[in-house]
Amino acid sequence: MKLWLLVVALLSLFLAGCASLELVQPWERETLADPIMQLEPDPSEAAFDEHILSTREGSAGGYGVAGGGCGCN
Amino acid sequence: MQLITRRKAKGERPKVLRLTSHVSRLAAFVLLAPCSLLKGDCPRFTDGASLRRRIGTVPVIMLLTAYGLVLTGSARAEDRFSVKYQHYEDDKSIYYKDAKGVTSDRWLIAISKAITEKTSLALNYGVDAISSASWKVDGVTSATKRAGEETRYSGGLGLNHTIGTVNYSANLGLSRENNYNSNYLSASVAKDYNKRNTTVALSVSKAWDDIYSTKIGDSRTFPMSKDTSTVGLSFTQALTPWTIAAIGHEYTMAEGYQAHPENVVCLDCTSINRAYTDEVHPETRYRNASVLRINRYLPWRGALHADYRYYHDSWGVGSNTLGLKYYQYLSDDLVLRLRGRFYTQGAADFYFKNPSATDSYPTIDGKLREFDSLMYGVKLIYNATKAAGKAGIKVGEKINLDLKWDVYQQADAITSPTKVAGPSTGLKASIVQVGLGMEF
Repeated sequence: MKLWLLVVALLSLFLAGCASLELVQPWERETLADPIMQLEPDPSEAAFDEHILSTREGSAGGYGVAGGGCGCN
Repeated sequence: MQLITRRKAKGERPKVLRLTSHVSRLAAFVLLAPCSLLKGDCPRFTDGASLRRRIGTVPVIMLLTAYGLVLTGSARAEDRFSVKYQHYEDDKSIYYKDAKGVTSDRWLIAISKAITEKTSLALNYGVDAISSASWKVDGVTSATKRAGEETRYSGGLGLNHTIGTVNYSANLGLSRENNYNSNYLSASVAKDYNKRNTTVALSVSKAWDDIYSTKIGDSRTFPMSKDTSTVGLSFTQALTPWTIAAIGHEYTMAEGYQAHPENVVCLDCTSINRAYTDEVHPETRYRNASVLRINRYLPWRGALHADYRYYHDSWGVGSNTLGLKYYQYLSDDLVLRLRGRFYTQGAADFYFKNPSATDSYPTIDGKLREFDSLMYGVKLIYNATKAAGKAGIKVGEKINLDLKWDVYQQADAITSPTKVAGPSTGLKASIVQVGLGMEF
């Protein structure tokens, strides 16, 4: 229950913050389009990292990296 | 591994190339793929295996497709091809106290090809060769020994379609190894709002796994199954011309067999009445993961990426993860990335250092213990497009090479007299990765 409250609170703050923002115009997006500003610049690396970490740690998920399971030890 | 070159003339002895590193083997695969498919007098490996037999038909066809894109010039701007190779090595088992670690060599080929103005197709194929992946246990002495090499093959097919400001994607895939089969489906829809400043994405996926046991004399009935369903929702927002942020939540429900069939648990191990049993985990697990990400561009041609994840599941495992990545252009074509990842985890409700016969879920799974971990590393990303052009190589609009080295280490927290220090402490791993990416 606490988790859902946290998620809702974060989401509300996020959306409330967005509501007061000025829109970034297309001609202002040069830096956002730079490869080093992408949320996932290297999807293959992200998938490799997720694979290693989820087989070494008890937590997994959240970063949107899809894939099948494995019996990796 | 050795590679024997073609004979140039009758009677001439072929040259033998020793491929001592994984990088040289990967390069040989990439360079020789077309010859292999044409069934010509190709170089061959000393054990007699052709390239096609060595790595399989699928990746060779994918490599040929990439060559085709280059040679025929039929590629669109959004067509991509990438090869990634990774070597992973750690020093300890997370299950058994005195067992050695794991070494794995993994590579992945991915192709994305536009088939219409609004639709693209994606393919990926990977191979993961793991040594010391399982340990067989002598039920009397609990001694451990290596089980040798295991190989995991995985493949995926994806379709991506855009209508106006809405993007749809669907993926299916599978992975195969000697004791684990998995098939999965996933789909997602993402819609842009506010002149593409806001993106809302919803994703769903489902995986069906079959688990087998390689333990000698295992009397249980295999395969056992596990079904996993995941739902994810995310919001991405351009906050300023230099800042972008995203928030997302994933809920995962797993039902079925979730222990490790080869793991043997020593019960009441410190007493004279010790006994051995198979590992048992609860058959349902509900996971929740919330992630907040912020990327900020910096005026000296750098960027800082920060992410935080809060995780909690129905087994009692809770964790906090903070990730930081710093990117810096060293020149127009060379980017340096430094990273740090800080992770802290609490133990599962049923995880105990010394399992006893009264435990409902006896386990030695070190992933469920209380510990912290740290990951740090460096990566170089080189845009080789100009250099290739100067050398007269025309293989698309953009060529990227990358090389990274990460270190990952765990440290056990000592905060509770019963839930402390799992079977291994202080695991340390080294990860090296090499990649090639091309856009056409």
